[in-house]
Amino acid sequence: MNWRLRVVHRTGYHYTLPATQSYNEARLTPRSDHTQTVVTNRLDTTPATREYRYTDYWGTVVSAFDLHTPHTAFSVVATSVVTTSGPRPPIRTHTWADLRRPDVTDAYAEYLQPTAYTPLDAELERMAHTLSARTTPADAVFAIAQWVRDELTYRPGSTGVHSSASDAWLAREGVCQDYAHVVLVMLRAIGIPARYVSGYLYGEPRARPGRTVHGESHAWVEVWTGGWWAYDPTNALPVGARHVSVARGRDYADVTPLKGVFTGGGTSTLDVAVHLTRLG
Amino acid sequence: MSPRRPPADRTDVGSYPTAELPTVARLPTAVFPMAGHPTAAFPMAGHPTAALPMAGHPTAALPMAGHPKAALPTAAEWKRLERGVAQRVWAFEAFLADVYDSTDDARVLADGVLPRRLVTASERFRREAVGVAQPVRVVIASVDVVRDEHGAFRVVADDLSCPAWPAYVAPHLLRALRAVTRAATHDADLASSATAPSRANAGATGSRAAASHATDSVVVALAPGESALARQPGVTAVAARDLVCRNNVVYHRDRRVDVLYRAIADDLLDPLHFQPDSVHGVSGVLNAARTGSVVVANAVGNGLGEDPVIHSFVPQFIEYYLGESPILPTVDPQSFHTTQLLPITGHAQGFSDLPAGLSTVDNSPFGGLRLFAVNDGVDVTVLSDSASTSELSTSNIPQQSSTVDTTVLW
Repeated sequence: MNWRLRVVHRTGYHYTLPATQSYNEARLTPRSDHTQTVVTNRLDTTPATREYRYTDYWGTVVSAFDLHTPHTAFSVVATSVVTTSGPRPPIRTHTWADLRRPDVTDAYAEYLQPTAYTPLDAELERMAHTLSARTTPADAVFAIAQWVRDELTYRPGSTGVHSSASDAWLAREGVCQDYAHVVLVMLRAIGIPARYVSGYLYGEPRARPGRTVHGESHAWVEVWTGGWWAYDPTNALPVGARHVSVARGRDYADVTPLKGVFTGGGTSTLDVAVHLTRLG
Repeated sequence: MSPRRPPADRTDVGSYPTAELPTVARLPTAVFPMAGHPTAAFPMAGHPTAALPMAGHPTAALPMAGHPKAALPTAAEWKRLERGVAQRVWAFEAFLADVYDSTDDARVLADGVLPRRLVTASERFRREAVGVAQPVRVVIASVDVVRDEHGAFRVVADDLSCPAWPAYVAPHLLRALRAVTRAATHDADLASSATAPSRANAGATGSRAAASHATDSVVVALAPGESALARQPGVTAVAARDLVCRNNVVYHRDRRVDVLYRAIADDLLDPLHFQPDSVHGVSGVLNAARTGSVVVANAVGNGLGEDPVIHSFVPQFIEYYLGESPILPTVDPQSFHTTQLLPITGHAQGFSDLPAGLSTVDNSPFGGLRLFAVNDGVDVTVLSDSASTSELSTSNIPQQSSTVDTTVLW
């Protein structure tokens, strides 16, 4: 079943002193692939800037823009309309032995290695082996995601954007970013190529067209077991019509929605608001 | 000044019968008291004339006379070094362009010449630079060679990122930077016109607009210290604070910068993409290069070719991209165990003949020879320290202007 969703992602920066220059990159454009189609996409900034778009290494559309007039506030509004499709079944073509083949480990090496956000963790690795001992690779994904969901408590504000999977695991709590990172650590530990996906989730499963809800940036994982497929460990949900995917990479650092450097400005505060509307 | 030897007593390494040369393996180190102490080995070092009382009997002048191969390159060897260094630079250029133009579609990876994981797992791989197409990625390189136990030159290291170079390289580098800009401008012209001559002719058939642009091209040198490039006419030495990027154009005051020569590491170059607190960098430079408005030399991400694991594939890259056999062998690690690699003497590598201020090179002792390659996209010019080359021959050694043509297959 297809949905049509409008996403309005508004980010505001406020500076205590005027910022004289700022350079930014936004990764806020949903991607077009076999699971979803981007109908429209626009990025507006205040003050106005000239946008430069390119596609990065990961296939994400990046909007780059810079500002050269003193400003104490800066907002970026990304508006997209996306047609999404229902969940796809997990891919079960590859066995554990297939995943260990040199051509597989060579092609997906970067999705098997630890990163700053997804470091090696002996305890998570041991648990991943236990959970996957008698399953197929695809079922190991479900088992690990379920276990992480049982072990962690979802608590906004308990972790920050700079928290690693180990930080979240030590605290036994976190948000979607942390759930995704912990699951990635465990999947990579048992040899399943896995990557981080940023995007949005429309919160109401049975909303009528026209209904707008507050949302947030969301994160989930994609795994390779003969082909890529997606799973949302925070909600123990297959990724389907309510998910809009934007960017993917090894971890959060590869998909940061908005990053920038500025001169002057004193200290800055940031507010983010996401509104999702089901259009059809 | 320097010891003179007739170059005629040297022949090409390839044809040198090894039997004629006692290998170091069979010689106790004591035979070479200078091992590790090059100056002690050459009483004439620093006092060249006093050290050569027997001028006219050059062989007797050298304590390692029984081991002529320890000395500086002969004319024939120099030719071989030149071709070999140019070949390496072309191979690196082709490899880096292949991987950075589009890693997914890189031929060298798709064809299985290099395992993909060696790129994606390399700490020197800069994903931020993928898709940044530059007319030339390796404009300046240094290549270090040593003699092996048979006297043959072998490569130990290549610097493709920010090699330090002595002052005499500067005019060649500037010429190459201007040629590269011309090619970039010409490519841009071609992009908007359908009648495109082949890329190889780009330099020769550049339009009048491109030519005048190149003449006026603004070249700046971004270096933490002094750069000899900035003493060349038309080049401005700049610090990060002198430059600003606006809408993907780099400006120096009110002038558009065409070429940014940088002697700072990738990680410091662009705070937007790399270390955000770098005070040596200019935010926005990488995206400016991505749009083609500025040429950054050397290109961001070249360090991938210096990654030791990838570096070991250079012979394969030469065969794969150039369809040639490697001219210069790389060093065989085993030889470090079994033999004493010979220090290359005449010890000019300290650039001691240059006024201190003219050398940008760290004078640390190095038992080999450092060669510099300048690539303008059409020719690679190989240079070495003037003191070294002047010793080779007064007549036929192409000291600073020789060019070697090597055609890249694609």
